[in-house]
Amino acid sequence: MSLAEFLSGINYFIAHLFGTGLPMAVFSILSAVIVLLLFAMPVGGFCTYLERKVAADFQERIGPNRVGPLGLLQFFSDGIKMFLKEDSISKNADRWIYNFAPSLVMAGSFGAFAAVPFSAYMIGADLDIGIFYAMALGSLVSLGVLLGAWSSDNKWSLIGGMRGAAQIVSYEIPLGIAVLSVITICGSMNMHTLVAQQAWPTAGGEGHFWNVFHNPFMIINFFIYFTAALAECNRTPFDLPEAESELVSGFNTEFSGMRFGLYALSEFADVILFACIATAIFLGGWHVPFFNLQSINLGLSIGELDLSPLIQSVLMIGVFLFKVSVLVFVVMWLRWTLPRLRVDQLMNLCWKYLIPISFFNLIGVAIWTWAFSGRSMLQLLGQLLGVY
Amino acid sequence: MLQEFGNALSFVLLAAILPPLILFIGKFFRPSFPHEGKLTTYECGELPVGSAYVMFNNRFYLVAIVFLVFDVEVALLFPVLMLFREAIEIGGPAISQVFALSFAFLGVLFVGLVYEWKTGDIDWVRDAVDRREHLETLEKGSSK
Repeated sequence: MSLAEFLSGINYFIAHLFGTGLPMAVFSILSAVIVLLLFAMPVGGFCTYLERKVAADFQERIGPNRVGPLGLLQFFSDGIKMFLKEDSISKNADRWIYNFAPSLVMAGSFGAFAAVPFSAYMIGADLDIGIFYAMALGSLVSLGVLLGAWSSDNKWSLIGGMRGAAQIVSYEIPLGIAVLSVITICGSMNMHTLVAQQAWPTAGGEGHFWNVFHNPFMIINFFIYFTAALAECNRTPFDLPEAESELVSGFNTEFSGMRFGLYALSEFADVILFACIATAIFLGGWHVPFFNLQSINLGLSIGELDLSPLIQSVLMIGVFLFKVSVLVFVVMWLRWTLPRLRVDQLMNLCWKYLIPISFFNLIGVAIWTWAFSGRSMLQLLGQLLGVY
Repeated sequence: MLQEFGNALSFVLLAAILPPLILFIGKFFRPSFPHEGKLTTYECGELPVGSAYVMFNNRFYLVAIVFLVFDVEVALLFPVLMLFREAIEIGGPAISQVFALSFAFLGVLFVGLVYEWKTGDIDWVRDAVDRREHLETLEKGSSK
């Protein structure tokens, strides 16, 4: 069930009050507004604060603590500041592409949130090609980065943008193959089905527990996915496109004020997006060990409207966001742990290590799935011990 | 299904119109005092030298071509491997067919990767590799 359908439960009340309901299109726009404006943007903004705070903790500093309690409103004031900054466009810039590039980056990183399954009832668009859609839109970001860099007619930007494009397209391949192995196991590209299959295994149940623990190859695959995702988001140790010590600010050097803000926001949105997808396809989405949240039913209802999906959803979103925030924290942690790679090391890591390893992993996963008819390590163990 | 694509479209459209919308609203609040110095290209405070549209290292070009082949391959494998589970359930020759088909496909590509590796096309710094090979041949010569 998609978020729009979930929201259309409100139609029940509206129809009750006014005698007629709203068209479905209203709810699909409302779902986009909720996910993007109430989740992705504030959380992306909050991440800029969190990163400074985490950095400060690692370096034994205090970090932002002036704006609001514990400096929590820092990102808000940063946003207002950027909003009020003068928008200066260099006169050599290619105006059309320059204006278009931030839209492309935002459409890439924010549009892909449609395929993120926050709970069993809340997914922006319950597409049958969900994961494929997310990957396709995710690669729009590289186009936006390259176009923005090229159009600003600045040497720093151009070098940064070219590096960014080469890096993002290269790491797209190990990323794609890692996702491919998940699809080999689950036999579906629908995000909801992918997550539903990762339930705690029960007798006669479909679930095989989290994909990352499905077989030994999947553990390696998760690391490949995580590394490639770091590179896709231009995060340290792969932050060559905006290597601030060599390229001023890389691909966004010429972008000032709110335009820069949009780039920074979409970068964090990208990190959150990849954490969300990693959670959904490898770490079991909303599933917790030993227990299936979907079996909770308190029997509450308003009139004919059953409230148990709502209660389950709250719990599921909690579990999902907990896993996402752990992954986002690891990404921030890595930034202050690993030094930046050199550009040739970056390419070597991708083409000479990650791609061959992921190829053999894919074959390994396929053979495992064939040999054990798609059963996971946990299911095999359960069978061996005679649990079910 | 069409409804779901509509939902996805509303996400993409909302995300795409946000930047112009925010910049448009900001227009009424932000100052605008352009002058010659501000509008030049940023080059660390120096006067910019020439344009950025210059001849550029074609390493980037090669990576793009290699990427294209690999990514098309991965995209084509998605629907094939999606049937893997189904083929196991069907049983019989279906599973070995899907397996052979997808991995023959992948194998051809892998041979290509090995070839590119051998010829040094995926080495970022070609010169350094040539120099290393040169040194290695020198070392071989001296050990004889």
